[in-house]
Amino acid sequence: MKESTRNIIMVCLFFVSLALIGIGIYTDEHTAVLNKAINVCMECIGIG
Amino acid sequence: MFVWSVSGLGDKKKGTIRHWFQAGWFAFTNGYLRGYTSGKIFTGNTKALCVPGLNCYSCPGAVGACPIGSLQAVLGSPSYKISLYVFGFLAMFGVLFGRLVCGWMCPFGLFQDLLYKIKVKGKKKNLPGHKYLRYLKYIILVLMVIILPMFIVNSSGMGQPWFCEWICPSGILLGGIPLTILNEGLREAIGARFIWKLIVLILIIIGSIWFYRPFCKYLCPLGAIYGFFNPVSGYRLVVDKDKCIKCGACQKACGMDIKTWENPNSVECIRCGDCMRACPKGAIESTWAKVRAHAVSKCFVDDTVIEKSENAASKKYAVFGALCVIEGAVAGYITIVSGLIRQAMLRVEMTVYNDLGYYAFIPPIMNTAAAMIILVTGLYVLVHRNENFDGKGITHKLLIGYISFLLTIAAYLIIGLAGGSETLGRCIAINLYAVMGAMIIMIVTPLLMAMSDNLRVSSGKDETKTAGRNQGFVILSVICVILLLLAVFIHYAFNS
Repeated sequence: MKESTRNIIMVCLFFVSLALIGIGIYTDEHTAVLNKAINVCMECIGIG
Repeated sequence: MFVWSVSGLGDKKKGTIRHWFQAGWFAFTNGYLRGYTSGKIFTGNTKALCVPGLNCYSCPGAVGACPIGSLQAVLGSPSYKISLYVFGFLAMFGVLFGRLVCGWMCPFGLFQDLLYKIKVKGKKKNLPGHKYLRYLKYIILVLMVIILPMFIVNSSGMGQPWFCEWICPSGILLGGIPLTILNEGLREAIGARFIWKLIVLILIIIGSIWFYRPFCKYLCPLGAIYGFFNPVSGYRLVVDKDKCIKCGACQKACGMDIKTWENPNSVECIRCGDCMRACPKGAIESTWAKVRAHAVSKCFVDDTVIEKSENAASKKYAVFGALCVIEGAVAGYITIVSGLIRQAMLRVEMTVYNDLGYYAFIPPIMNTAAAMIILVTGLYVLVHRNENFDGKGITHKLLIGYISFLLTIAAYLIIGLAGGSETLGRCIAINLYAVMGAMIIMIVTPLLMAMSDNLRVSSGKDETKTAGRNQGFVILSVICVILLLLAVFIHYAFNS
């Protein structure tokens, strides 16, 4: 694959990733992540 | 050699720099110091953001969210069918860095690197069955991170984080062990799962002493995801076919055992850079090094090359002048609009600022002066770029601008000393966006001063002095960045 093609794919994927993050914020998915992260994950630490 | 480049350093130092970066990144993303003393995890808003590496969010110091844990949490939630937010973060890190994250930003990667340094006999790169075992991480990704959390749900429709629950060693190392040491209640709740995870961790530790990064090679689903982006990520390796003699030195040096000359962007490559250092012909280069070399050639004079073309010098002055104009315009706009105009409006409109004295205008005025000096210097250079003028004068003009910025800091200090912390706090709060303008000047201006010095046509008389001053300006800029990061770190450490 040419370097220029790789660069084009990279740029396109970058903007797609930003769009996904934006849609995720719009659907409040970041709140779900926050709620999980601010509580101790018992499964992660092996308790229970 | 450009003084701010690490290309002049020895190979061992460059390898060490990676470990120091890994350690610094760990400190940055796990900098909530109060968590290590209180046994309570950080609950600030930054935990809505995913960090790039495998960093359990139950680590007492973690200030961000683990992407794999977050992915399982969202997929296992009854409210979401698919996780766009977390996939977006994974795609963004992947497309920018690829598995550079594994080599430079993963705490558990650092842990394995350090374990492999322990000197024992019989060290090898790979486990027996490496050829097939390396596909195990993809099975773990699909099965334990995606399918099982989505489809094996309880009566409330919630799935479990299967990978975190049964395999992830980062959770027990960074979260389980510190939290159980600090919390009696958790200690009493230790059961079979904790013992199982501890056994998994111990096996990985033992494996990491004899084999290079076994978790990354065979088990890590995050590495599996980032690996897909390696061929198209921003950071890629490029092999110069004309220089390459296919000696195999790169594969010999590579801990992941990759034939770099054949497949420089293998999905297994963690971008440690060992192959680049091992290559006897310098045939392997990164895309970032190419971009940096291109930018440097546009902006700086290489003192190993005699600059004969006046046109080339004129172009360099044009780039330098443009950078000064951009910096001055951006910093000036922020400071004038947010520092001066907004402050004047808030002082009238908000009762809490009604009695704030006119002294509060001094810092943004100094900052505006600094920005304008830099802007005018840039315009001057752009207009006169075709003339052979003295670069020393330009450096002095920028220095005057920088002194003006330093007076901004002095003004804040004086306000704090004279008025007390509450007055200083109100003064900074009303000028918050202007502080951003100050940060731009703080970091960029020393670099511009170094550039200006380098653009001087070398007379051969005081080259050493110029080189030393250059180095001083660049170090000043680096110190400013470190201070900024330190301020952020301290903010996280002492605030929840």
